[in-house]
Amino acid sequence: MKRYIPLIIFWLALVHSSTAWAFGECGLSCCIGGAVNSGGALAENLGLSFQYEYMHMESILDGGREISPTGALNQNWKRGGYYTVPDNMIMEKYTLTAAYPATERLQFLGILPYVKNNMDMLMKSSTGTVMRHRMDTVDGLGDISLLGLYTAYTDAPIRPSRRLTLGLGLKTPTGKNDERTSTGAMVHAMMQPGSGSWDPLFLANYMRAFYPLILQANLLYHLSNKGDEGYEYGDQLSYDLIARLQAHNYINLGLEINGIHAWRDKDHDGKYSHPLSSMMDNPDYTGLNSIFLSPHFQIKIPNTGGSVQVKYQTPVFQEVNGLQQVVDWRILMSTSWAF
Amino acid sequence: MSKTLRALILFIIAVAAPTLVEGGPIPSLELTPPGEAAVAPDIALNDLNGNPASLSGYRGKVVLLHFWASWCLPCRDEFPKIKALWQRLKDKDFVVLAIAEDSHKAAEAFAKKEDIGFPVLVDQYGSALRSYGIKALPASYLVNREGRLEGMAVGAREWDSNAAYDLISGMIK
Repeated sequence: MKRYIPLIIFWLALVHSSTAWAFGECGLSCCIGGAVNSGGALAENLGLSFQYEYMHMESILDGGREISPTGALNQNWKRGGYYTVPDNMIMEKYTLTAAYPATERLQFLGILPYVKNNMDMLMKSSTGTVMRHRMDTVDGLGDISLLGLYTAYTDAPIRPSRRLTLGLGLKTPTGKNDERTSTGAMVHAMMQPGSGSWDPLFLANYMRAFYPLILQANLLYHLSNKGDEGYEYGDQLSYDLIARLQAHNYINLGLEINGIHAWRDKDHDGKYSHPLSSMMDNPDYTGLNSIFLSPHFQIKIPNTGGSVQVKYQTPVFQEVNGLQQVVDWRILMSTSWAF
Repeated sequence: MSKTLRALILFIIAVAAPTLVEGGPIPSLELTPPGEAAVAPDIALNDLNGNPASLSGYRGKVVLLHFWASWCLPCRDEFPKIKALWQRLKDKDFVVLAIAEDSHKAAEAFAKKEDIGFPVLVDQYGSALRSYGIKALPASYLVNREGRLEGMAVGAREWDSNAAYDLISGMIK
């Protein structure tokens, strides 16, 4: 059923997109740059966006140095005990975003994620035998976020050359954060669909356009609070530099630099922490600095308010606290519709 | 690669295919009447000199309220026709109010280049665009002496035609 979700949304969008523009008109949605990111659409009435994210994690870093899974096992395993490290992890996320412009300067966004996480692990037993096993798939509704975006300045309403947008939001604890494996153990904190906490979000976006080239800078600060299970993710600062070229009326090409600085997590009640037996369950092994290079392209669909976008992310710099499995590559595909 | 990933790639290819399709010809002067005798929403913006101006300030005159932008090619092509119409009727109770969905700088440069003699108002935050529910440019609204909408057009029109002249002359009388 899940594979049909994009097609259903696409079909609904076609059915409800009543505006058809003839030759000799400029449909406004074709000219409106995204407020938050290069894929976002500003709707005149309502905007919907659906995104699929596929993240592949396999490499393990020790600080800034790559280490093999067996190397990580041997480094932490102690005779008589056991230790597990992740071998590879696939995190998928389906995100539905709805945008509603309350006024010409204020827009509200609702972001609804659905996550699906899979992980293979290597375990070195007390006898020194290394075994591979797969964690049960964790999937479910994630944490819904609500955002208000305010256009603090723009020099034009549709195709501005300068625009500053400020945002304030709240991440709600709608996703489960107490998922357990079939053996009854708490699933690793980072694999849980939700965090269990109410977290404020602060956002700033500056856009400067030299058409057909558009430059954007984003800053997003996620202030994390303690979840109801006692786990507190580290705060996270995301920053993006985006260059987008309108190569054709209906095609945008782009290149982004996406940076993340995440602070260390804290497990106040110790429910998720097993530092002596699991690399994944060690709050000291959280927090990182990452920079990704992300080429993308966007195709706008003529005579509709729709567009599709594909973005590929590859890391150019990653440094972590302790030992952590990191992102090797990520692909994001989205379709947006303005009604 | 997962099945979902493959399905989405196919979906994107399918959705992108219509980019090769274009629309039909420019209509001559097909104005859409408003559903009811609707009062034109008022517009209060600044002109290119920074002076406040409003649609209601022209009550008693026939107004062609014209939404445009300098980056919109059909708008640029249509502008000389609107200017020609205005030049034929400017000495009567007729005014063109050009609402620029553009930056002040771009609108000013375009107005200077085209030597526009009628008022140009800058809709910096899109409040006028929003109040008229406009989704495409150019868009034009004919407002009668009482401030009611008589007709609207989305897309370029032959404003320099005799049909346009006769229509507006009839409204002025």
